[in-house]
Amino acid sequence: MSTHAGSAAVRSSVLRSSVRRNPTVVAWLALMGATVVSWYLGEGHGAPAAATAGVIVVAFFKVYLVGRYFMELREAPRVLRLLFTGWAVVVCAVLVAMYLAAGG
Amino acid sequence: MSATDVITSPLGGGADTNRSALAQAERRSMSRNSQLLVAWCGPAMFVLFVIGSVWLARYFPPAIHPNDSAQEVAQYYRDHKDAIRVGLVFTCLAYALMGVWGVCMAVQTRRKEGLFPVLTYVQLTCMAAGTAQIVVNCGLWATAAFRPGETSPEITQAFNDAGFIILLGTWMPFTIWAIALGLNILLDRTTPVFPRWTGYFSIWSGVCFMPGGTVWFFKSGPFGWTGVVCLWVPFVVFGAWVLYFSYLSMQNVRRGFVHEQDLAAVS
Amino acid sequence: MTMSVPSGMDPFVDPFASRTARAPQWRPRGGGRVPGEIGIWVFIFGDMLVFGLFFGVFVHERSRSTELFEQAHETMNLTFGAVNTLLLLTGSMFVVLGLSALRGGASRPGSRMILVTLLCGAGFVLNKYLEYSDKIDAGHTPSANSFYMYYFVFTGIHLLHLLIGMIGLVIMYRIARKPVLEARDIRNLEAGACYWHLVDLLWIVLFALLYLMR
Repeated sequence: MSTHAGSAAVRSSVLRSSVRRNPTVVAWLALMGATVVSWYLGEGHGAPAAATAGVIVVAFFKVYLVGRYFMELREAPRVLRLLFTGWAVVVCAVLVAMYLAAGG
Repeated sequence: MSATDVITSPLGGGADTNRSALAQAERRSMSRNSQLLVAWCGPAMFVLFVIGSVWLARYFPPAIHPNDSAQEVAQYYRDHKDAIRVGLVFTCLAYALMGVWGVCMAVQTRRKEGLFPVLTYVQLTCMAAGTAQIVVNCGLWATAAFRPGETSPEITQAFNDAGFIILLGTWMPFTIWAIALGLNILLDRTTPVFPRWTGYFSIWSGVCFMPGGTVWFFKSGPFGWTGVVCLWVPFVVFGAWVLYFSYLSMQNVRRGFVHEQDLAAVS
Repeated sequence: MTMSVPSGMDPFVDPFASRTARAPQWRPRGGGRVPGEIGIWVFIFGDMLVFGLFFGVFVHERSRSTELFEQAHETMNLTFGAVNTLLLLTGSMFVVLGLSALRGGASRPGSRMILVTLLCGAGFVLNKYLEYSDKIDAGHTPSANSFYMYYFVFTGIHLLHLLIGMIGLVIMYRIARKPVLEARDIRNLEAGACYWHLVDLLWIVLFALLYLMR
């Protein structure tokens, strides 16, 4: 019962803190912005090779943000963070290299 | 009550006090040895598969591509029919041992499931169905190798296709089996028989068998039966799954986790 | 009916039977807190490994027949993919907010935020259904060309992951509505949330490769 009585207060505090300085919401805004940027690049703006390389790098930066802020890896043991970031960096580098090696 | 007594008989049945300690120890050591025997079927499967499919019959990685013509397939079977036939004997033996190894997993998890071992039954059913399927696909390949060059090439090709289509395309019982084993570990609220993370590992393995299903739809590239997604992902993960759980079971038996069950809690 | 035998005296006695302690969990060294439990990370990294392979296969095949892929890419509708990305990102944010509300003991807002995520997931499925039928009506079937083969297989496997994640969200919703959450409940909620974020991050890369590469 007490949980439900206090829920309104907690909800309003969650909503209030979500407007400012909540890292989750900031990360979400950055992710939405990055999506719009890559959407713009993918739609035919800019030189194809540079735009595509940019799109891939932006995608893996988004992956990094999801891991760090949504999956709460910023508080996790170093092994998990290293594996996650290592995967993102390696896969991103391999994909960009394969794309550029093929002549864009 | 009586069911409980039967299952826990080596240590249970308090009224039956005249059973000697020696007889009890013998029964335990028999169970111990038989459990080790079935656990070793995992590595044995691996060795027999390498001899039969990788070395002799060359079904792994497949020497025949899905887009080869009927003539090429029949030619390959005619030129290599003896190696294929002998290799299939080893391969089929390896696949049959999967049924034995599946019993090992079921015995390990069954002790923790109490009177109604639902998930263990699911494991056993799906394991048996899966074993039956892949033993049958060896039979289909053996049929292709039975009269190569005598029958029309299309018949040889059709039986060869059918073998791969069953081997990789019927992943469903295997996936359900691996998920049931994983749930057996994860739903245990006390100390599971295997480390908790292996429950997730088992479910992930089950998910990784799914790409094998692409064999029904594609004749070339990574989704055909020679492809990295269709063939390698399921086979490598299945191998790791079998070998790691064999190792864990042997470790359990060596540590003496053989007999006792958690039935007291439910009866 | 089990006779109690002191463990440690008989090498054949199963020590599990006399032990009802919580399952031991392996923890990585070096401090920090594992989100969920270590097992879900085995699953997540395993899936990331397999999808990393898928991504490599796609870009490799694309570089072998660039023209075909570029022509096929012209027929893609970016809006479907972008809307789905935005839906998943928003859903992920609501899971995180819901989880922090539930940790603070706020059952009702927490479970409602999980419902919002579930709605985002349902929106993704609906959008995917519209996109698939749009593609098939236009004659872009999986057997039409290799671009659409990859498109259907990879988005199909991803959709399967998403559906499993939605089952996870339903379970999380049921847990969240409990009046009191135990440590085990929080662990399961975190594991489900991490899986949902995995679905999100795999889609982010698929969106870039299938819709935006040119």
